[in-house]
Amino acid sequence: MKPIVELVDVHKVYDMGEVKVHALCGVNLTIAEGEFTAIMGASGSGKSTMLNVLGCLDQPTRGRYILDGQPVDDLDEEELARCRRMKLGFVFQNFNLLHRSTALENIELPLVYLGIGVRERYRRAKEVLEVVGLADRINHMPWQLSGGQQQRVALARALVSNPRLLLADEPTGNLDSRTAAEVLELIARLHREESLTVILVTHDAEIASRAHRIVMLHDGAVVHDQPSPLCGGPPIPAIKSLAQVSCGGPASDENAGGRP
Amino acid sequence: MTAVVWIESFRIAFREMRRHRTRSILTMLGVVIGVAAIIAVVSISQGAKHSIQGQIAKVGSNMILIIPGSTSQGGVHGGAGSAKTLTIEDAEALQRECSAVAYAAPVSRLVCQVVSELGNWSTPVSGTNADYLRVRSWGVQAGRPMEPRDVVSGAKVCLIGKTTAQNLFGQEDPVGQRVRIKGTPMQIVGVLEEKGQNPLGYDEDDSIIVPITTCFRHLAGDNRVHALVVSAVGEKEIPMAINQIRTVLRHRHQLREADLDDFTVKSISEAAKTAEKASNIMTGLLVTIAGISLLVGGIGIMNIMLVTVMERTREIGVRMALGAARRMIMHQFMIEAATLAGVGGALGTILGVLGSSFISNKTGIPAMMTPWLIIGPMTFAIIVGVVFGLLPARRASRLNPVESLRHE
Repeated sequence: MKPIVELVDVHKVYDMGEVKVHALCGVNLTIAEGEFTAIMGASGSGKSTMLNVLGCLDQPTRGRYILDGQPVDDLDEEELARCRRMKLGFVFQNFNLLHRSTALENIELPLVYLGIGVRERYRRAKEVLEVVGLADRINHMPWQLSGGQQQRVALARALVSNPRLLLADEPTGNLDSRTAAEVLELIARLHREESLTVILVTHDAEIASRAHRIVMLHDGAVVHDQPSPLCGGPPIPAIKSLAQVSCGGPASDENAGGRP
Repeated sequence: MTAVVWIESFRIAFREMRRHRTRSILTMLGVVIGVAAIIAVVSISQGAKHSIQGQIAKVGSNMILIIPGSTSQGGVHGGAGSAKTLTIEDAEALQRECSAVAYAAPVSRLVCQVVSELGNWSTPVSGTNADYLRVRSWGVQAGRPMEPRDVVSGAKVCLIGKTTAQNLFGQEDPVGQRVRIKGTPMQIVGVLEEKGQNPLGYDEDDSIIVPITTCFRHLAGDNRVHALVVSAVGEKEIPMAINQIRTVLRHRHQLREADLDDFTVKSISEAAKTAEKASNIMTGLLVTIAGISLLVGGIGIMNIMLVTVMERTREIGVRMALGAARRMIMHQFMIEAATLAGVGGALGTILGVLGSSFISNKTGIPAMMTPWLIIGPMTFAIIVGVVFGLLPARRASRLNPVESLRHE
């Protein structure tokens, strides 16, 4: 399988004045097309930083990042925005729908930045709304939708531009367990049926177990990279049991994960 | 691609304006007032200028008036025009010797009782020569104008104004009829074109014109010339004509170097120009104040846009994550600022047009609207919006997407 994501010795250092915070310490990771990977880690483990790098929202201090065959670690802002537009879909923990726009308008947004005309936007938005099972909520405002419905709209928004990679940051974190299961099932189904490449960031082992591959981060380094139990891998280790891996600086909870 | 983003940005701009109706209206107020004031001030002052120019054209825009100076005998000053210094020959000399003078006519004026077969009427009578009508750019509507031979022979003929004709003859054709002016029978040879009121409000059509020689002999009882009216060959030559007139008259009146002029030369358009200059300064001042109001309006827009950027930081982050380039975010907020200013400008334009027609109604000064007067302030308002939108838009576009997404 062709790799979609290739991280080679990726470091991310935040200069906080007196202290330098190493959020990522030489991460190596390759994710192939069609894979469903869960990235796990405690808060402060560097998983948010990793997601920002993977999502072209932030750039590594050192190391290479090749996204879909294109090195992106030395791109300028304009080209990074282009990458996000063309190749990536985001789902956030707090949905991040625009409150003043209808479900349809929210979903159309990425297509606006792709320069797609009104009619085509409408057609494609309607199509993905059907995929996520909300065709009847097309003109609803976000506040008229339940949490699960909002996240499904967000998912539709992430999919409407046919991204190469879906990045989901704790997508079920704000949902009750039943709704969470529904959303998770939807993501799994999209992966299965549309062979979508999915990277799911979570701290919850139960949710991570729906993925096919488990990558665990601790203090900015990969400490576990195995198939999930679902695919015959070993059980997911408890986060707290992981050994301390140091790379030159303190990575407290507050500093490493809490900042970009 | 940009076109789609721009259209979307306009849509967002109008939606945001509707959402924050009160805030938007208050923000636009400075622009509304500025644009309205500019339109009202300029249209009224242009209208006033235009009507003054129209009245000057009516009098004769190249006209120069020469009146005798004051007498001063034994310490008693007679006031302007009291001296008997001007003569028919002076007029002839001006026409002959001054290259910048086109026509010159002496005028002797008095009010006479005029009697026709149908009625009688008291009216101003001007004794003058054949060139008078040319100086005044005044034509004859029926019959013939005055001719040089009428003046030479002192013919008992007259030209009659429209109002006078109506008062003396009603609907009858006055040409060829006889009237008695101060008891002297005269034949009406022509009817003057309608001229309406002069700038002082006198009805120019209530008048009779006779040859100046006839006036001296039969009506006035003396040979006093009350004024010379002269027309310059062109508006530009007026100052030159005035110089030449002074030189010729001083020479003819045998004034020495140290003597003051015994006459006064006045140019209608010069006087009007002075008045116009003063009104231009006033207009300029008012437009500047209105412009400052527009600029203050721009600062208001900038302020609100900065607040908007703060409030919508999260939204900006989401847009960036979904692929909006910094340039697109920048355009979006600049379009929002320009739309605020543009809508303010449009409201201001409506208010300005209504305001100027209201002022026009109250004062009687005609308001003059030109397309430029609509396009100009409107464009200025939009430019103000774009310029003052620049800083907030830049700030929005420079936000860090990761931090913006975390913004509460």
